[in-house]
Amino acid sequence: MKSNTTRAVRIITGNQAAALAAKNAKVRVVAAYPITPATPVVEELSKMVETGEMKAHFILVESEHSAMAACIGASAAGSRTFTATSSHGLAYMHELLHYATNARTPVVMAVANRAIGPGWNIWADLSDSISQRDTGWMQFYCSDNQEIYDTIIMAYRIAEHRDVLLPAMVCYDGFVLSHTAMPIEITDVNDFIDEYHPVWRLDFDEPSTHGNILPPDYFMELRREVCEAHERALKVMKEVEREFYEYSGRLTPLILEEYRLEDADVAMVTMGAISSEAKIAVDELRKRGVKAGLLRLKAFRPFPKQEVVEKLGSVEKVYVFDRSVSPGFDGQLFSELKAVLWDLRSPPEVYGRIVGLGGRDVTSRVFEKAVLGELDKKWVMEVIY
Amino acid sequence: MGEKLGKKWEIRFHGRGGQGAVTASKILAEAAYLSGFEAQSIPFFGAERRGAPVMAFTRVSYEAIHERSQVYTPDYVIVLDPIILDAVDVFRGLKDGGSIVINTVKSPMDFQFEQGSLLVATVDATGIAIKNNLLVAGTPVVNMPMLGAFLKIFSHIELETLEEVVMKKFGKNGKANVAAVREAYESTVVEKVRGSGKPSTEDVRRKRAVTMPVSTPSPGVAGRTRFWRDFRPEVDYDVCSNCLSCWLHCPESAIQRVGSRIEIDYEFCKGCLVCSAVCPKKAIRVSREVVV
Amino acid sequence: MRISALPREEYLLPGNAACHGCASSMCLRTVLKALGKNTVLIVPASCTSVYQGMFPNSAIAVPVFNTAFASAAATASGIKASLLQQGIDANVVVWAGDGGTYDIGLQALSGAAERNEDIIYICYNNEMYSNTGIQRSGATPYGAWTTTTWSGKKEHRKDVAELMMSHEVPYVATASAGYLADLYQKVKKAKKMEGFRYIEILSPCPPGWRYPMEKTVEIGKLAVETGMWILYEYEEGHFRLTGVSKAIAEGRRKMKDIGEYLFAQGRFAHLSDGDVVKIREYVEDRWRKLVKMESDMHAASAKFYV
Repeated sequence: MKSNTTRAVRIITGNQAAALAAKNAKVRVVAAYPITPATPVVEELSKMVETGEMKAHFILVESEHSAMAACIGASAAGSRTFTATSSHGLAYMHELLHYATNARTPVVMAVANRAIGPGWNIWADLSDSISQRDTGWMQFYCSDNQEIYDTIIMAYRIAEHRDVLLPAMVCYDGFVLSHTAMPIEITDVNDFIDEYHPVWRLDFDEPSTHGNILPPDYFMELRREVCEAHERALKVMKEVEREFYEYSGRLTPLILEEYRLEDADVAMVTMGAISSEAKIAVDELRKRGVKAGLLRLKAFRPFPKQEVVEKLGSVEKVYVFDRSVSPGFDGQLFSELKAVLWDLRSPPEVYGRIVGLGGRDVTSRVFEKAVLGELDKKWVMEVIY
Repeated sequence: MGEKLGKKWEIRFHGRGGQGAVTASKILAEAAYLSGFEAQSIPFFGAERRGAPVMAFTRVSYEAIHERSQVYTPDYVIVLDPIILDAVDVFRGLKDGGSIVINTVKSPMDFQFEQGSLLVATVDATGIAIKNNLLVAGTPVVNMPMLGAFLKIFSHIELETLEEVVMKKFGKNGKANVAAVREAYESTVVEKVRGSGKPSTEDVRRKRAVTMPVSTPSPGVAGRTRFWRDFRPEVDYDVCSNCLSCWLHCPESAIQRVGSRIEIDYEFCKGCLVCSAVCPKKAIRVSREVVV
Repeated sequence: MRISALPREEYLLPGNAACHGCASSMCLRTVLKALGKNTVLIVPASCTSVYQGMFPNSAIAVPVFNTAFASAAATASGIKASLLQQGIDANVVVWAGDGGTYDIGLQALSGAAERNEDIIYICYNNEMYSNTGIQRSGATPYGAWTTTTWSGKKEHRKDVAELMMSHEVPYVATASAGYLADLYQKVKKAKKMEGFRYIEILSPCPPGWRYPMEKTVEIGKLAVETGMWILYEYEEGHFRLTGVSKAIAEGRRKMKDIGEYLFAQGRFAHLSDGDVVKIREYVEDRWRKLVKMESDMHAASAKFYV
């Protein structure tokens, strides 16, 4: 552990944590457009840039589409970039999310997860970012504010790693985390993250053309490279996680977190803020004699297939809780988890539950009851307390 | 019908953008269908513009056609453009013993190839197009006479069936096109020609990893664009006042200032003739590009 | 200016994939001569995305960043911000067609203009979506045939150069492929200024407008000589007609009849007499409006000094 690490605890919201992380991660160009519930990130950053507290250029663009375009441009020109958005704003960026991936620009973005309308709904729902699953972005889902701060900083180290060169979104439930204040340690990360050193950038002395036509002879090579970069990212994530632990003293998981899973018969699998409630349920269930455990996925992309199989290889039952849904199919995490467990010789029974869409509150009782077999329907409609 | 089962012909067209290779491929498919066959016409879209080499494919079969891919080993090749012979290997993949129809003033024996033997048919489709006034913006359109020439070696479609499709397609220009089809059919010279019989096995395309979609500046991104040239501008230096108007207006950077005069880079000049049009001294003469 | 004064350096390399007689490639060549090597070009989907060639090669010898169709001005804003942060002085220049400017890219353009981003935005306007094969755009003039206006477009075009003036950016200019030396000088002037600069070039297209390939320059001139396209500059709030347009406004040159321009192109071949009258009226209205704008400008400054 480094001795020069200065620790300062502040009670702040998830959005403030995101803004401070961007500042401390030496972001030099921000382009963003306000949208509830991510707006405070944009406000916070613009204030820090205006007062000179943050040494960056803030482009107050006219849309999320332009926000991402400006981030991609700035990244390609050689700057570390950041933006924050949510819901419709993220959907509006969709085209450029693909663009950032194939352009190999390591943009990092905070996403305050929110439902997509109509009807208008500003509350927590992971559908916005889960629908961006196939854009090639790395996706991390946080369950507390400390994690938001830590993960954004670590995300740059992963995204910019020359074996990776992929954009990353750090997601956290709207309002549930974005507007909820908790004490977090604002670690000075000056020695953890250096100024951005791009692998490639626009060069006036040796000009090159970025992103012209990539014909059928070459396109698959690029796509395969992107997929291999995702695989390499898992390795880099493990290194960065360890390095950050050594630096800050905090073990902030990047891939997954397990809770009382070693001897569990029943595993719950979750992502995001609801995972924290699930921990309470694990303890309750254990008190009642049910050997329950929790596997929280932090990284949804790249999906840690091997790690998940290892962790769930010996449980009998798995309950997957999705705060999102793919109409016409199931909860996305549920579907993907089943696909991964198919590799096991005798896979556990896997059940899926849809919970908490559009901000419907999710308490620990939901998890408890589901595991006890008291919620046998796929859709958990009631708020149980 | 028994011997016909599984019988299928694959035809590849070579032309340049704007010459109507795709239209020819479609009209041939239509004529084949009217003759009782299953038929398919596939355009191949590259990224180039008018004037660049293009391909199109037609499949004709007694049975349902399930292929959706390009034609790699055609039974027939139709070359619409004499200029393209230098730019593209039109013989590539053509089956040994297959046939090729070429728009040229040369004779079949003038062609060399790696197949053991081919049926080579030649026709001056450009001359026929000019004679029948099949011109668009001054450029002869040879696609219909080339189909006429093709029927000379492909006996499964009646000339009359093709003419019917052509009439319907071209409306008021139908008669001229039909006349050209017939004239080409009648004047096509066909000979069986022996080739080297030694196919090269070298893989022409070297692949590379693509980490970043980043390209390097280099001349000739669209190949040697001289093959796009139908008309050749030539500077009469006795008349040229070196005003540089042609240099300023060349869309291709194919006119260079060399010492105190300008020179046309014939490797890349596409023959758009803007230089000739903007020359105040009328010092740039234009002639039809001759194929050597 | 003398043509020989233009730099010999070529930044658009020969053997590119543009059509015969392409005005866009012709103008880009001139524009890059004016801008020089310290330039990054931002190109949204357009003919230029194609004629610059395919990976692993490029026909453009300055840095180029290709971007999504709607995003040119926003991408350029990001690139400029980054270069400023790094202390790199370079021309950040958008090179977009009228599709990427008038239609799908208008929001990003307006945003960047309003923010007065320090970039040059050049629209080569060929009055239709040429790249996808000649479909109507917001810049297509009344009556023109395209593959989505088979019987001729029923509406007049909009005018983004005027829209940029209403954004009160430091510099707006129009140019034409018929007058490359004028284009060169306008780009040179824009290069020396700061803030958002917008230049729109009328860029005739032989296959789309249906005229013989060698007539690109002639058509570009005719557009101006008949008043269909008006050359002007708007500089720090001051509007003035330039070149042949100025000469016509001052009575030093007679305006040619609109028919000379229209019937030189196949896309207008079907126009009725009534259509021609409608176009003539539109052209006259625009003339009156812009000439008045110039004289008001003079009157205002005269008043100021009284």
